[in-house]
This record gives sequence, C-alpha cells and structure tokens, in this order.
Amino acid sequence: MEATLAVLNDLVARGVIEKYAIGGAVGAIFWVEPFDTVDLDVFVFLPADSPPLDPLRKVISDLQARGYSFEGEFLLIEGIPVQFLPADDPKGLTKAALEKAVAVSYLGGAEPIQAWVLSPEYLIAIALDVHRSKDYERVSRLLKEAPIDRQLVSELIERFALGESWAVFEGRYPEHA
Amino acid sequence: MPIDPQTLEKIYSAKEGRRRELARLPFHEKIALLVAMQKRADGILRSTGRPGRIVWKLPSRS
Repeated sequence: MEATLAVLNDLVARGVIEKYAIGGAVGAIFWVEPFDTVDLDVFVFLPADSPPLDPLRKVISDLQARGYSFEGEFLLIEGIPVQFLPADDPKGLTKAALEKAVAVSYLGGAEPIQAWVLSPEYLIAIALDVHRSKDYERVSRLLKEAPIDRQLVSELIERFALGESWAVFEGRYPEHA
Repeated sequence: MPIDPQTLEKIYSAKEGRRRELARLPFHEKIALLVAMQKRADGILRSTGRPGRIVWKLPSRS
C-alpha cells in the first residue's frame, strides 16, 4: 500500500494530478472496522489543461509509461487495483469532499507516508448520492463507528439535495432515524 | 432451548465492542486485515473450482 501511495504522491509532486484523496470502501475502512473490497478508489483534481472528453488520459499514459497496466477496469499500481475518479461531478459534491479531505499518515513500511482520505461526513454524502444497497450499509457503519459531525451530515444532505436517499436510508436502518 | 434476552444482550454488546476496537486500529493494520479477507475469499473460491479474485500484493510488513 505504501508503494501505491508513494506513486500517488509522486503524481502530485510532478503536477500530473493536483490533489488526491482515498474514498470509496478503503476511505471508509480508514474510519470503521475493516471489510472486504476489491479496489482503491482515488478522487483526483486534475490540471486545468486536462482534455475535457478524456480527463484521465494524461494520468493513465503517465502511469503506463512507468510500466503500470490495466487489469480489467483498474490500473494496477504496485499490486493494488486503483480506480481514478475525477472530482468533477455536476453537483460539486466530490469537489467539496476532496477540498475537505483529511491528511493521514500511513505506516506500512519503515517510514510513515502521507496520504489523504475523505472525511466520514463526505463519505456518507457520496454514499447517499450513489445510493446502492452497499452504500446504505456503508452509511450505517460510518454513523455507528466513525467520529461523525451529525450537524455537518445534515448540512451536506441539504446542500447536495440528498434528502430522498436519506429517507430511504432511514427506512432501511431505522436505528439511525 | 431459547437464549435468554440478557445473554443475547451480552453477545451483541461484545460484538459491538469488538467492532469499535477494530475501527480504532491504525490504517496499515486495517489494510493488512483487508488483504487477509481477500486471501481467504480467494482460497474459498478456488477450492470450489471457481476462478479466484483479486488479492492485493503488499510487502510483508504492511
């Protein structure tokens, strides 16, 4: 994992991406009891000159030039399948989430390595926005086990029009209502 | 024989406590547990004649 994070940090240092943060299941795992998942979701800010119709082209070609290749839909970076997700959804939710990402220290090897992880409140908001069954399950885990600012969660639900998903969630997980 | 509510309560409370304990582990230890789960799932799939699944490759210390 530290080797993968080092590659991501290097992409930032060389300006291939402007910023990144781990989201998805691994982002949630930072805050809750670990659970199984396949890939590492990485939200990224891309430079302004990225091609609009193929925004990840430069990131992918840079990594391919360094010997990393696709395995199915994922780029395999130092043994971990990575999915890059430009933080540019029309609602602005992922952009706001990446702006508020938390710096963390990963101590897998001899030296700690810095990485960024989405905050639990934004992970909840993104899960509500995606609203698959596993996303609602993730919201429940985060609310139970992560240090959550409930006021911020309410604000994000309001700001990003997630009330309908929240109502579905409360119906499925009445203990959080 | 049905389990009495107090015993059930103790079991649920212990499970909840264990979950909170695991949630407090350092990130790299959680990733090591994730990879252990991936390996277990891969082994189960292969042992039943199905194709395996992706298992992250981490250096031994991670």
